Amino acid sequence: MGRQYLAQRLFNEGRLSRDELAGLLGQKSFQAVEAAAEGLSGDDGHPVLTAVRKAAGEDLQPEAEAYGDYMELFMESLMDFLGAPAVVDTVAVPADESCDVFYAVSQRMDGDLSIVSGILAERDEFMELAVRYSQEKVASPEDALAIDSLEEFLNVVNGVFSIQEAEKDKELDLEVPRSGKLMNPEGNRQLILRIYADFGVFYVVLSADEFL
Amino acid sequence: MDRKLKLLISDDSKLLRKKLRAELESLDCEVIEAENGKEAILKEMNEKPDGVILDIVMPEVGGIEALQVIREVSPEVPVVMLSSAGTPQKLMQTLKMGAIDFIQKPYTSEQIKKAVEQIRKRVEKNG
Repeated sequence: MGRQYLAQRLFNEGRLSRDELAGLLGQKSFQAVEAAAEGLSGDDGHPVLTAVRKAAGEDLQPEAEAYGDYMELFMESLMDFLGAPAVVDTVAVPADESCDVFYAVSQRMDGDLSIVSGILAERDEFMELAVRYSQEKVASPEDALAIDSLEEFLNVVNGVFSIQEAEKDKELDLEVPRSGKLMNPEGNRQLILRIYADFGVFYVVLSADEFL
Repeated sequence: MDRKLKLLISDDSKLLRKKLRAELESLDCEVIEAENGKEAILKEMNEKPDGVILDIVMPEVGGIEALQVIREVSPEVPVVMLSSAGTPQKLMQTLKMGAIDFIQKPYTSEQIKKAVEQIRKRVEKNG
């Protein structure tokens, strides 16, 4: 994931601010990222995992590894299936953070691990994600095709995650995805991550049980 | 085989059904759709397709239960699983139950083409 990976490393090291990041990801050229990356310290091969560990903090230590593994795959899939370069914030979003109504999709994975993953976004970002995955026109975030598109994207990512976990002898069953509108997700052992993408900001929620 | 292959696709995703229908029609197949396993069982019995393409994670009746029923009712009908849930355990389980192939989502056109060829060969063999 090349330049996206460099941008995540620069962000983790505090060399790109949130404002700079938002502007930078929307640009066609990543020259600024590449130039700044020349002075990067260390050799973090898993910058997404590093960001998720920071966001999870001490409170979510048992979950941080699985959540980090999940997010590495999720961010890679954003690039592969939606062509969306993106960076995950290193600070978790509080569940009660004031916000508008979110459009959301989620899917539970159950078995040797219990993880629910979900995508939350405001109207424009939800539609943009849906259009990029489906390559179809969608009229509104409540359009069946828009919801279906993001449920299917999540289902594909979670399917690959379940295969990765099976390689570690952890069997996971996928449940049918859900969708809806909400203001504050409320799941146990929950981590809400802000994702900066080239088209705007949206959120990924990870929790031990259903939050939608 | 000088007639169109009639295939039943079962997936709760409208988007997937739309894309897969277009893919199969470009391969000169006639397509019937089902939104879940229950509908797939009923349509398999009523419409007698030449083959079935079945998702696993579906509401009401899932793909594995649907596969079991379809194999009991129509043991000669070739079934291909098309799912995101492609863990080795699910793969082995469905192949043991009689599915002829398992395609992991996201699929490629080449995988669908190969599955159609497999179904066509089975149909020709069964006369």
